[in-house]
Amino acid sequence: MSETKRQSYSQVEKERTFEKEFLPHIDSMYNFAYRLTFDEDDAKDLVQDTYLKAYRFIESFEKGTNAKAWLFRILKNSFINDFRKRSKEPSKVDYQEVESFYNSEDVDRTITTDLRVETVQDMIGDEISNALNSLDVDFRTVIILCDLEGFKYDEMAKILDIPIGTVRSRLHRARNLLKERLRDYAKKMGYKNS
Amino acid sequence: MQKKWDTKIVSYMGLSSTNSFDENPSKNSSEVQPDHNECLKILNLVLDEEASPEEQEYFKKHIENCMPYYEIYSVDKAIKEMIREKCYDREVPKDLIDQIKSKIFQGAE
Repeated sequence: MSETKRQSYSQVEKERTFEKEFLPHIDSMYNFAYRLTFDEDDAKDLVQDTYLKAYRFIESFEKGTNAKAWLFRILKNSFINDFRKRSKEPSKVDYQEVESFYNSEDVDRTITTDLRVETVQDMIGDEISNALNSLDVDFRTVIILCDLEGFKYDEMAKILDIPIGTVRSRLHRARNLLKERLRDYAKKMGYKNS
Repeated sequence: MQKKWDTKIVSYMGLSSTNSFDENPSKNSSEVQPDHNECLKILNLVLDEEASPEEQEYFKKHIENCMPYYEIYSVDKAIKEMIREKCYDREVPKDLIDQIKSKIFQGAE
């Protein structure tokens, strides 16, 4: 995505692309920004910053490609560069560890999660939302991109600058963690497993 | 209930514990019994509509006869659907679009 040849845009084209291709994604962008920062003002700043960068660097947006993925990539980079430094987020997960874990017993571990479909469907939105928010930012991000925004694995790989294999393992791990949190909620709420 | 499940699952997993993640599952498609471990690795692909037709077929064949895996798939699918329905809860502040536009287009004419 970043290696794309520079495109040439007339002023009219720039404005039209911005209006018709960039701005329609503002709801998704704001939602993503809020779930990264958990602060309305920070989310607003992050989205604004993303749009200003998108316009300034519009020549590197290849016409006819997925604007939403391109914008999400800018937002994610802005978050890492400008926000994460000053936030209290814990340090990055050691993915090497995650992946070796994934390739061994973690795969088996998935199936011991004793959640039931009915239990999940009985949950109100807050439980799912809180469980998602409780995940480490990198795990939260893959679930948002995949499940909430519907990005494909190759798009996620580009947005996050990681190989597809890492997208898959991170997603797998994130889902297991999410299920653990949901199971804890379910237990607290007194749901029965049988 | 959970204990029973675990024992059953552990015995399933014992059948195949050494497959690597990237191994092509279609290699095993000629076998009569689909491989449980392989199937679990495809689960996310099927869930995210990233599986090839062969992988989908392999997976479908497996969960038709395997209740625990059918349950796992159903739970994962339910969670995915709930996330889509319930986690899109933030409204964009009304003035944000105007603020962005005025920053970009002021004096741009």
